[in-house]
Formats: sequence, C-alpha cells, structure tokens
Amino acid sequence: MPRRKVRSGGRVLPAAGTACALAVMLTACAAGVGDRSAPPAPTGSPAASPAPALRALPPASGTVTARSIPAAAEPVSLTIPAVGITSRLARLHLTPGGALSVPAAFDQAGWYSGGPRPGDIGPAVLAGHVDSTTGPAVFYRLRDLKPGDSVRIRRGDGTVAAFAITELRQYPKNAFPTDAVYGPVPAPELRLITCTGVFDRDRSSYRSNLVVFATLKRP
Amino acid sequence: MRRRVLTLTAALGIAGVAAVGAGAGAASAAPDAMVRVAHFSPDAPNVDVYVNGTKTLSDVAYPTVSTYLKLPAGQYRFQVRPAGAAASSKAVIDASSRLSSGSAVTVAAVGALATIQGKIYSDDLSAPPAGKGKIRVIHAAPSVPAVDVGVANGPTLFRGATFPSATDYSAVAAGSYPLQVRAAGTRNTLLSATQAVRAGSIYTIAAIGGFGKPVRLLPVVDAAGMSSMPAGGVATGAGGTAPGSSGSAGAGALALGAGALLAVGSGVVVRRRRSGSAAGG
Repeated sequence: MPRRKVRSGGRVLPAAGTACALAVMLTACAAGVGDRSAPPAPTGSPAASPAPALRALPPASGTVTARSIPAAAEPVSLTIPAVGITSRLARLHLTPGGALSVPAAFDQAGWYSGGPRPGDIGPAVLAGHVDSTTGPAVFYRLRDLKPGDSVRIRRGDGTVAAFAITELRQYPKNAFPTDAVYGPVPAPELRLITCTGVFDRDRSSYRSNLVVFATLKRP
Repeated sequence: MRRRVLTLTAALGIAGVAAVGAGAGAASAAPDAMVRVAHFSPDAPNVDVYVNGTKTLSDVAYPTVSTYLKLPAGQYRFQVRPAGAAASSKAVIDASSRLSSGSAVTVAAVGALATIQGKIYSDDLSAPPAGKGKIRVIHAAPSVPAVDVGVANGPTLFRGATFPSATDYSAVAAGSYPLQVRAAGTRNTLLSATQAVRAGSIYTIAAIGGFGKPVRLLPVVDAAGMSSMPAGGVATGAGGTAPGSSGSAGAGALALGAGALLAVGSGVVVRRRRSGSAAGG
C-alpha cells in the first residue's frame, strides 16, 4: 500500500499530487479506445487524437480499496512549543450517542481515529481536557495560542507534520458548528478542541468549546 | 504523467494571509471563497494566470489543477496569457465572476487552443451524507462527444455530459468503483478507470486530452472529510479551574477573560448543516 510521507517541509499539492497517485489506477478498457470506439474528431479539427493511448496496467493494479489512497501514518504524539504542551495521543472514537469520545487521562490529548490523519487532506481532529476536577489539564493553555504558532504532530513512522495555527474560535456546545469544524476541506488541516466558557455545575460541563484551527505548513 | 506542484501565492497570497490575520475579529465573520485554477487545454502552451490584474500563477502546464486559494468574497477577474507574455498583452481568456462567501470554484482553461475558453465550475465541498463520498465529472476533452458515466455492471451515474460542462455531484457509498465513460446512450466504452471513493471525501474526475494528447481521466480530490462527523460539543473539562472550584479560581477568571476575547463563532459560521446537542462534561 503506498504511503505518503509528509515531512514538515513537504508540500503536497492536494489536487495534482493525489491525482498523480490515482492516475496509476487508470486502465485501458478492454473494449479499446482505438478506431472502433474512438470518438470522431469534430469537423475541422486537425486529426484530433484518433487513438487515445491509455497505459494498460495489470488487473491487480486496477483493484484498489478506498484506503489505498496515499495516507500518512497514524499520529502518536503532539508538541506545541509556544505553550509548552507535549502529549502522546490516545485514539478517540464516537460514543454510542455520536459524540466525540475524550481521553481517559486528563494529561493526555487524543486523535479522532475515525477522521483524517494529520498530514492527509481533511480536518484531523485532536481533543484534550482543559482541566480535571482539581486543576489544569493537557489543553489548559490552548487559549494562549495565537495565529502562526506551530503545532507538531509526530507519526508512527517517525515523520513529523508541522501545522500553523490560523484562528481560535469559541462555540456554545448547544450550537456547535459541525460542518465548519469537521466538514470536508481541500488541504491538510488540524482541529484542536477543548472546553472553555462558563462551567455549568449542575451539568458538570463547560458550556462552550474552544476550537483551534491550523493548516499544514508550506515549505 | 507530469507532476505539477503549484500554490497560489504572490499578491493574492498576501490577501489570504490578511484575512486569516483578522481571524478573531468580527470582520472575518464571513468565510472566504475558495478558487483554484485548471489548465485543461490540451494543445495550449504553458500559461500565466492573472487574478484582478496580478500574476498569480506562472508557467502553468497542461494538465494542472492548482490548490485552492482563499479569497474574501467579491468580484474577481481571471485572465490567462501565454507564459511570459506581457501583462499588458491581450489575454486569451478573460473571465469574471462574483465569488460568494463560503463558495468554491474551479476556473478552467478548456478547449483546443484555437477555440480556448474559460469556464468557471462551482465546486460543492459540503459534506456528503454519512458513509458516502461525492463524485462528479468535468467533460474537458474537446474531441470527445457527449458521454454517460457509469459503474461497470452497475448504475449509470451521469448521463449526457457534454464538453465543456461539469455534472452535479453524486453521492455514492464509499468503495472502489470501476467507472466506464461511454458514448452517450450507447454501450460503447471510451474510457475506463477505477476510482476509490472514501466516505466524507469529494472528487472530480476530469475527462481530458485530445489534439495530440492522450484522452484520459484525471482524478482529483476536491476535499476530504470523515465518514462520520462527531455530533455536538466535546466534553473536555471537569471544572477544576472554573471559578468557585477547589482547583483554581484565579485560573477560572482567566479562562473567562480569554473566552471573551475570542470570536463567538456560532452565529457567523455558514454551511452549518446540523447542530448536535451539547455533550456533558
């Protein structure tokens, strides 16, 4: 399975880069695109492509799974130098109710394994607690980040993806903008999520989330 | 296949950064528009692309699809000139469009050089239904007649696509599809390719070539997301630094202050499709 290694300095064009990777899947049709089925050239066109030449590949090359799109290795740890955050990453999933699960440990952040891996196209999602019942937790200082600050994600294959923060947003949990945070994006991006705002003691819950948006750094 | 790595930078890049810099303020409430450029004119030389009079991409070769550039919503003029031609020279393509907030478009040079034209395709990057991806076809091969696109031994996804049009996006279950491009209304297969579709991702398959270039399918990942988006907020706090807790009242006050400085985003984000209920914690 092809695996794309995106280093911090690596810049992979989402469209053309992936297109190249996918292009190897193209196969010539058995029925042929030669004289029998080639479309006629429009009148006046100078002998346009009488026999489009598609590169034939062995059948095995034409059998791929969705997962075989070049993928970064799974993330294993997180470093945010500007605020001194370092953490290994737990794997997060969805709860039976559909919400994002959270790390069991207050001092550890997590990665939503049902979403993109950091460095792949799409919004990779990391979450961590702002506090425990007794004091600050791993993402307590997320609030101190500023646009331009760096977030470094180390992956299982030893590569590092470096992201630059673009903005911080606060959203009430009862009006969480799912698409804006989790929806498809055309480039590798990152979301760092924790709690903020008023703590509702009756519900033992902060009423808002802080979401930090970041994009993969360009060389 | 030629590999091109291009980014939209230069003066427009600066505009994009400025928009990001204003991120936390009310002025940035409206999301930017996104635009990318495609060179699908098979016999045309390399080109320079100008946006609002500023050269934004240089020496773009066939077949290239650029990354997206984020731009504030507004009116934009796109001009294409042969690579190296003076900015004052006549453009071979001169197209204008109003880009709305949150929208995405592909500005494409299509057709043989003798009849080259600019097309602006609307890219729907909204999330597919859970478990599905979205695909569409851009018919950008001027020598190829109208086509149907379907799955081998399966359903026909698009009918009667003509040069130089784009189909709507079609949501399909995640999987690997043996696609066939057939002369419209026939079983005559012109091209075939296997397309992997991941849940949450969005693809354009461009039929390109002719006029001396191979006619083929160019798959492009428009955007990628996730199979199932989490619902509602995230329960990432236990209150130990909130005011009145045994943890740290001072830190709690700090938290509120920081919160007040942040843009309250819920009222300003468009494309919200659904909002889940708050999670506890």
